[in-house]
Amino acid sequence: MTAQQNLLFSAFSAIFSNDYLASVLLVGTFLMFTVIGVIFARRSGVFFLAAEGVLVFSATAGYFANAAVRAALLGGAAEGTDAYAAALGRANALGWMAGLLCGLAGGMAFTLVFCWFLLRVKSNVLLTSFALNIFASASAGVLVHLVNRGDGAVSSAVAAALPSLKLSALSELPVLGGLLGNTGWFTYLALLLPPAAFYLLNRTGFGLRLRAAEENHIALTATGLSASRTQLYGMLFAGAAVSLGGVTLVMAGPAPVFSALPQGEGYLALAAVWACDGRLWKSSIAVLLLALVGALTHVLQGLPLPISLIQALLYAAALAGLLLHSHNDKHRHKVSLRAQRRIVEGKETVKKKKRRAGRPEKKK
Amino acid sequence: MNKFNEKFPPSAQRRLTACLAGLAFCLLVILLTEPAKGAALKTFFAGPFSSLAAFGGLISAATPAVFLALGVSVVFQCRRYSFAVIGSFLLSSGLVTMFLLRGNEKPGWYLIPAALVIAVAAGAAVAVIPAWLAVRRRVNVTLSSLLLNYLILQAVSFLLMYSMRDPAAGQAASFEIPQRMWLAEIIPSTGIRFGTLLAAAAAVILYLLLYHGRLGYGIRAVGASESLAGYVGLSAGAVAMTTQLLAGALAGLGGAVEMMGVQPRYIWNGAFPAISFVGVLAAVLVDYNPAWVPLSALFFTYLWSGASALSAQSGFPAELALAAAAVVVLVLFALRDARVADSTVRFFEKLARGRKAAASSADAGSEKPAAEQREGEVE
Repeated sequence: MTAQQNLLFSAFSAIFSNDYLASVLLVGTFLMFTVIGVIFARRSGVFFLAAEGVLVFSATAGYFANAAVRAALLGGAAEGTDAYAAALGRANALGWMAGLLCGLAGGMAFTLVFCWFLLRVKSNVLLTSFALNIFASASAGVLVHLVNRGDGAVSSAVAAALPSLKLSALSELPVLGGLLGNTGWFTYLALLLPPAAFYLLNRTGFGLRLRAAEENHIALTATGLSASRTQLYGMLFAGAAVSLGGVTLVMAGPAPVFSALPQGEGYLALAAVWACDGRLWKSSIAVLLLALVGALTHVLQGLPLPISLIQALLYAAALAGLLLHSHNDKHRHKVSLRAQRRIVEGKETVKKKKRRAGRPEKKK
Repeated sequence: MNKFNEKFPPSAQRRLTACLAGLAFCLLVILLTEPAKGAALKTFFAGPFSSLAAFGGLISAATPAVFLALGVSVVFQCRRYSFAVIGSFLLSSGLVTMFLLRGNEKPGWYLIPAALVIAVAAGAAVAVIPAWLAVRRRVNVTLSSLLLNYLILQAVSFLLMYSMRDPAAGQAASFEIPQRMWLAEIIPSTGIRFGTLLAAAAAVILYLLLYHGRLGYGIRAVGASESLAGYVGLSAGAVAMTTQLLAGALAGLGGAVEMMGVQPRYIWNGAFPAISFVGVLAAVLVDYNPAWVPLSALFFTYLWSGASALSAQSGFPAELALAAAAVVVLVLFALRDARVADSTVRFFEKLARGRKAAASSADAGSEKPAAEQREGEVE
């Protein structure tokens, strides 16, 4: 075999492996959380560009809280000793819980700051988000330095991974068993999230008010509700979901390391939602597609391939999605114009449009 | 008090307060975290003024940021919130580096103009993509430009790793561009090069274009109201395209200036250059007015070069300056809200009163609250 064939072979065997599927699930999990957050923001009428900053902030806060708690509980016991083994289970469990809580708190705090600028100060949402994103990534860099420079207890400690769910029934399946039996419960949560979000948005009063905040502030105000308060509630959900995304980003892998800071994944999630017109199901499928591309970088990491170009594919895919959506939009517009003309010319009578209950009016 | 407001308008007061807040943020972080406080503070705040060469270095480092900020101010005046200038900067600096490293045997009179042309073309080519997507396809220009930035970042990182990497350099960096291909130094032994002159000229030209020219009037008209611009016969799409082309070309020029003398190695492997963020924020601080852009770019670069010097001295990350720059812009936004401005003024008044009561000497700390009080008045 020549070197090229060899490379091709190893690339293919990396792609057709359980590792690839596992990293698709990992990437898909945190993208799904982020996308759900962005959808909630869109339903509250907010272009959530600061999602990137929320991801960075919650990931940093979560990781270091996790590592600090774990290091404190292990108490400097060396690896392999009995004291280490005795403390490990408790340290891991409390570590990921602390990470989860602190990540959520950090992300929510960041979202609240964003909401303050958006709803109270009413500054330009794009510029504010841009500045906030810069602040988040820069302060994460400063924080990493401060922690690494510290007494060494935290810096040398590794964060605890989020626990995985052992489903004995699934793990006995022939092909996917090894994969599904070891999936983190976060992935199952991410799978449950779209239906839950659908119910909340389309079947409850809160969802109705939220959709009114997206489409018609005046109508919302006319019912006696405060538009900005409704938006704030929607943004709280959005912030929580995106923070969960940040936490899973750094802690869901088998061995968490703090190098997986987001590289524009918040923007990718925004692109996924906007390319799908804010529809839940379509966006979930877009997440899956993006995860299929994004996981390539993880599994092809060790091979002598241009990894940066493979990573660039992800952004190219998102841009292509946006372009495709605009193309479809234009096409739809043309079709409706043609139908209108036919009706005006009297060739066709007006069809009564079937409307499913709870489905919002299409945005113009 | 009104007389004071006429001479020193509230918008300028807000900007000054925001800058002070950024400096205070840096001061606070260094005081709280650095073990060697005195040395760190001296390096951070006084470093750029320690010698003529250091000050020249500050000015020449600010030059690419000025180009970027000028580009940003044109597109933002047109209310096209496109961040494609960052991608323009990256692609043009990458291509210029490659071109100059490849053309080692060619004479300087050919290389330098050719590199500038390549930079302008590359910058404009990047900026035109989101512009076209927005005008013809109605794709959100902010989103597409940000995604494009990441795409270009990765693509140029690929170029760096596969065709211009210097194996002798510690981290991923290109070979150094030979000195004979740098722009000419205009003030000897300061490092201030021809690019600074170009940036100053560009600022003046853009100011005249925006506020005294036909195209600039069109740009501002489209930014103010697209429909009104349509009624008076302007094509919003054409104006937006022209604007973004112009911005991309300027940012591309900034990339070339950066590579030809300021930072002669391409080093951005998978991470955005801080100078690009600095450029965008510098334009936001002065409300996209090209006349003031050089000053604000100089201020932000002052923060950045102080932080870089500190980073070289004690390893404290230079991102501190980026965080401070973001704080400056955020404080500026917050102060635009009358309620926030009022409560800030009240806070400082209370502080001054408390201090007066404690020390009973009348003049201590009364200067700043007075300035703050004036600022609270709405324009």
